[in-house]
Order: sequence, then C-alpha cells, then structure tokens
Amino acid sequence: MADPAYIVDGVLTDGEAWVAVGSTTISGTSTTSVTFTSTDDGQTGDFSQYMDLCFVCSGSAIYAPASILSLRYKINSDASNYKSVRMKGDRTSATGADENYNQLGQLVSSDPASYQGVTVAWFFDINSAKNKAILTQNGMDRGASQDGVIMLAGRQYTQPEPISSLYFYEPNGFSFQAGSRFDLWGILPRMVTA
Amino acid sequence: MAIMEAIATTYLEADAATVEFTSIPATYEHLTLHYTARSAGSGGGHVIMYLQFGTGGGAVDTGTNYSIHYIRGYASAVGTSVKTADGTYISAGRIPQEGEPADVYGITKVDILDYANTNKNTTLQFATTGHINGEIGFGSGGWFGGTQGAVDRIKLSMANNWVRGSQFSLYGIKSA
Repeated sequence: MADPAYIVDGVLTDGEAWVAVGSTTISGTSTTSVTFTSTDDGQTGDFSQYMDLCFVCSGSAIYAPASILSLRYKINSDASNYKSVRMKGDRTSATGADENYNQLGQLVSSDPASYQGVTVAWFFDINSAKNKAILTQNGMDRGASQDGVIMLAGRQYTQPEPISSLYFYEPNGFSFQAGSRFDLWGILPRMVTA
Repeated sequence: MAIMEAIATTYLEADAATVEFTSIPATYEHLTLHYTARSAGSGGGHVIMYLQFGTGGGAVDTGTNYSIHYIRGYASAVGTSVKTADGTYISAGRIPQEGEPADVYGITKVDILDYANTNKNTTLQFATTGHINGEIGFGSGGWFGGTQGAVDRIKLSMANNWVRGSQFSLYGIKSA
C-alpha cells in the first residue's frame, strides 16, 4: 500500500494539515443524498488519521414554493442520538433554540432561483471516544423579497464511536439542485507530548 | 506549499493545569486554534478560562491588557451582546465542568488574525459551545497593551485543571 504524497517514509514532508478528502458537485435532478465514507486504507480518504473534519456545502434543493429547507446529516448511518443548540437571526429577530435532531444547515428551495444556502461544519476530535461535537455556521440569502437566515450552532452526536461515514440529505426527500456542491477536508494533527 | 500547517497538538493523557504553545513561528498570516476541553472544577455552569499571549520569547502577558466582547445563545433565547471590563485574560470558550454530564467536552474554534504584525493590537474571534443547558457563543477579543509584539506564545489555563482527554491543536495559515 502506497503512502499519500504528503507522507514519505512515514514522515509528513510539508506539514500540510488541510487535506482534501472528497468533493461532490450535483448534476442532474435526482440526487437526494451525498455520502463520504472512510476508505480505511491509509490514504487521504481514511478518516482515522484526522483530528477534525471540515465540511462545506453550497446548496439548494428542488422544491417549487419559496421555502427554507433543511440540510440534515447522519454520522455512521445513525438517524438518532443527536442534540444541538443554535442561535439564529433573520431580518426581523434573533432566537435561540434546542434542535435535538440531526439538523445541520439550510438549503434554499427553487424559489428564488440560483440562491444557495451555505454551511460550514467543523467535526471535532472525530476518532475519540467522546461524544462527537460539531460547530456549524450557516448563511442563506434569498434576495430582497425573502427572509434570509444566519445561524451558529453547536451540535452533538452522542455516541463514542469514531466517525467513519457522513451522509447529507434533505429530509423531505427533495433532490439537490444541479450545481450544489459538497466538500470535505480532513485536518491532520501534529502531536506533541502532553 | 502548504497553506494550513499543523503547528502542534496537545492531547492530555492526564489532568493538567495549563497548556502552552511556545516558539510559535512568525511565518504565517494567521493562526487558528481548536480545542475540545473539559474542566476538573466540581461545579456546573459557565467557568472562566484564561487565554493569554506572550511575545519575545518571554512568559505570557498577565497585565490588564485584554478585552472581550461576546454574544450567547440559549435553548430559549439569544442573550444580549456583552462587553466586559478589560482584564488579564480572554475567556474564549464554554468549558463543561465535572458537575455536568461526564461525556461532554466543549468545543471552541479561535481565529487569531495577523498575529505577527507588531503595528496592530492582536485580535481574535471565537465560536464555542459546551452543549449543556443549550449554550452557544460567538465572541471577539483583543490584546492591546501597546507593548506587545508578534505572538509567539499562547497559554490556556483556568482555576482548575483541564481534564484528561482534552485536546488542543494550533494551526498556522499561510497566504498563497
């Protein structure tokens, strides 16, 4: 098995900590989910080498009425065992709330066209036995006639297993719009003695 | 060329009073610090942590040269925006304590911008959550003593120990 290019004889050669793991850009009209799965092979797609993961989505979903849609996630294919708290602002108010399900971010519907919901999610310490913790920032602008949303959330998957897969979907089963993009990076540590 | 480099990760195998990053090179544009941490304090609720900077190879600055401004969100509301009096540290994180659920470590991401520029006060922003009692926060802090130079040391501590399993990672970000 060959080492990734940034490891030579078991040594990090350039200190690059930010490694592209996967990227999906939607084409067509029938894609309802995106999955990133650890390759478990010691290569760049192997989640077990990373301290954190960073996920970025710029996306919308196919649904005709003007609507704010959800982007949800599953860790290790599990639909349960999620908690979170978020604070959210729209053009009229700021609110705080618990979201004790697998909410991650928002997507814009087909109206208004060509707008995207953006989500940046940091998955911390993904190979530990801690509850898995995620910090998410969302932004969604829908032009002058519709409310936008900004949100900061702390999310938790309350299970001890390492993260080996991430699954993203719209909970009504709506397909992602063509051009929606999903990217995942792994963040390597540089361990020192504690 | 690497754009984001891992400078150091400290993963505590035993409780510890402080975590310190030293000899931070001035060769990056920005720093980013991630931690998943828990306090050995026996209580519950928000606990103060101390983030302090040093320069010139010396100890961290313990003078009243730090400021912080933040907003918190809860399960039922968003709190008002708060600017505290200037102090001797920046408390950048919601750190769960031993009096709170055992399986929870708070997470924090701190961005320290243009940290090597000696003509600016050092400024950071942070986002954090302790997952407990529905609390999330976003804040900004400054190190403004007027005598500071490029940040080459960061100290993280609190009144109690950090608990075993707490993890702290410092990264440097370069321009293209």
